[in-house]
Amino acid sequence: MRKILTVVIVIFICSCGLNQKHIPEWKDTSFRQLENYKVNFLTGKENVSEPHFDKAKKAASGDNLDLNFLARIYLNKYALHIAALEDFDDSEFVRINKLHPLAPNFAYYNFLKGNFTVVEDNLLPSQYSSFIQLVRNKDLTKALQEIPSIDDPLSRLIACGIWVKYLLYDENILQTAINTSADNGWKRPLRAYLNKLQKYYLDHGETAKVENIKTRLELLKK
Amino acid sequence: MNDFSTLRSDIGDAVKALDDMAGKIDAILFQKKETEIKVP
Repeated sequence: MRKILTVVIVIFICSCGLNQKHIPEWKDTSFRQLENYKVNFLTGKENVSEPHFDKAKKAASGDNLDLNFLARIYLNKYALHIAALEDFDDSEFVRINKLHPLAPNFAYYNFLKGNFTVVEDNLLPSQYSSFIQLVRNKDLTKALQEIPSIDDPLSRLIACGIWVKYLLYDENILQTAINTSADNGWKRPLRAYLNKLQKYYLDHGETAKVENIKTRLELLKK
Repeated sequence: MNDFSTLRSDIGDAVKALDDMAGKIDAILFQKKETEIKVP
């Protein structure tokens, strides 16, 4: 009995070893730094986030220059800016895309840039497959049903950001973004959407609601 | 004969337990080693 068990354990250990894929160190470093960058960016730690992005970029652009990997690092950065209603400098992605054009990366870039007519729907991440059609039809009513059904909170926030940045929006879509940001502790987009909502209420003469948002923004600063 | 079937049953249980453990270890290892950058 003991011998058989020993044999089984040895086979198990060997099979574990065989299953392990070799992951290059630069890839592992770059991935981890990008994840740190994303968390710090969203939680509003501006000073901490950029060094992580630089390290992610540096790891991917050393001796093992992987242009697809590098392009995706930049696309992640641009997506975060869209999620926080910020502009972004796309020059690096454009440069990389000229050297190494890849249709899915370019489709996602066009999606973030608001070039919806040239986006190839089937090349976008699947969570946006219904959303992109509503964007083209500018169907806010259906978008308000579709956006909350996007499981990943960051993708949900990116969808809100795209709508608010490029199309006509209402307070409901801003509230969706505010709730998503608040639930996840993402201060940077939360501040951006609260400011946007405050301006929306100002433009619509809803002074009581303006005051309410002002209080929330003050609490956020503390 | 009876001993043999008990032994077979014990081995079956041991293999099943190891298989479960392998699944758990695999999940932990590969969750940490996810390095493919996807766009969100």
